Amino acid sequence: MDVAELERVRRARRGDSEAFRAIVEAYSQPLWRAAFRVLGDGAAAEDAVQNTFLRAWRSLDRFDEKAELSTWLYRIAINAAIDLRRERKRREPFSAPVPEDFNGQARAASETPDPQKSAVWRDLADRAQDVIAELPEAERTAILLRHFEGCSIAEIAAALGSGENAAKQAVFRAVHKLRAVLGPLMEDSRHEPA
Amino acid sequence: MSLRDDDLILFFYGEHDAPAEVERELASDPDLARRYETLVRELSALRAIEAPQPRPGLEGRMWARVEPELSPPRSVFGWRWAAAAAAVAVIAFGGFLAGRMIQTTPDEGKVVETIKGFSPDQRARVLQAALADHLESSQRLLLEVANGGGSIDEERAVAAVLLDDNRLYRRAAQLAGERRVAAVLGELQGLLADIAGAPASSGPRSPQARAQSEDMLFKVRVARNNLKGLS
Repeated sequence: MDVAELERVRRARRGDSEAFRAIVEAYSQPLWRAAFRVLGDGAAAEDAVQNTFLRAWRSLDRFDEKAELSTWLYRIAINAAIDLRRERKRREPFSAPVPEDFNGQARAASETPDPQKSAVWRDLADRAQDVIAELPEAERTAILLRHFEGCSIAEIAAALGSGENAAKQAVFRAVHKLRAVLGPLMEDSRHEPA
Repeated sequence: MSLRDDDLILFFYGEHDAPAEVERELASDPDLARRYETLVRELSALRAIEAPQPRPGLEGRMWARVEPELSPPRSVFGWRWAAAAAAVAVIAFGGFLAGRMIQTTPDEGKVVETIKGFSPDQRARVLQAALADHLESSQRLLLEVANGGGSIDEERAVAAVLLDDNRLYRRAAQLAGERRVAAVLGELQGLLADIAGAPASSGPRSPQARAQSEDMLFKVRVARNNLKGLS
């Protein structure tokens, strides 16, 4: 963690809200993207990010200064998003879990007009999000940090508070579980992602 | 060199120790190359959950939502206060509620006065928030034990602190009528005592301890979610 960020954390710990504001502004976007991957919904992702910052504010005294603030926040964000996803599924068990877009915004991954392909993508996204949501916390954090954030095994180990071998095993288990679900889906659809 | 799927996963993510060897194997072994292609294709499905750009102005919106909710952050003293207060259950219950609200070292008189000023709703909310934090800390410890990669001495020290807190929170949950949470805290108490009392050793945790932690982890997670459902 760089010196300026460490100073912001220390000031925020003492109750300096302006220092915390700088943290909120620096991390809103990456945390929103992390939450979106779990929730598939922009407005819900904003709720998750809000919860993330509030949890972080309340837990700042427990943040280990040797750790990276980004991975600590990221882990809180993933858990906040998972909590929201489960809550939403409890409340609306039969609703469509993945909207085609949100607030008029298009999905970045694919803009295909082909309805069959869109359906395949939605199915893949939904199933991938379900699998990720059901993974044990260490595996979920490991795969999201490795696959989407490009974190190294060493960084994942630091985020998990575990050894590198445990982090590696968490990635392996997550990948195996994802492949077990996504592989047959891709085989059945015979559609390559756009 | 016999390559397993785990080697291919490491290679895919650029983490393999001997990438040149993997490349040579892929070039010379068509079966292996097919396995790798399948892996790449299946992982490419994760692009389905790539995130778009958020709506413009996210940072400003987020601060506008977060700022009104910021109360003074808890100091580390809160932990010591909670542990010390465990000695006297009734005062402790009031004490930890008060400690969360007034954010300073509460003396007994102040505790009583503060508690008197709470509405039942306020007490319930503060208790739920306190329990949620405690369960979160316990989850982190159990995760480390379940993963088996951490230092046993550190785990023992953390478990000892959590054990003291756990007795207090369990009592508080009972007083608040949170029977399910109290039951989970009762189970957690036994496991924390085991972890805290484990012999000092440089060896790994036993498979049984890791399995128990994994099992407890699930129960703690469910209890935390249920608590949130009450708020």
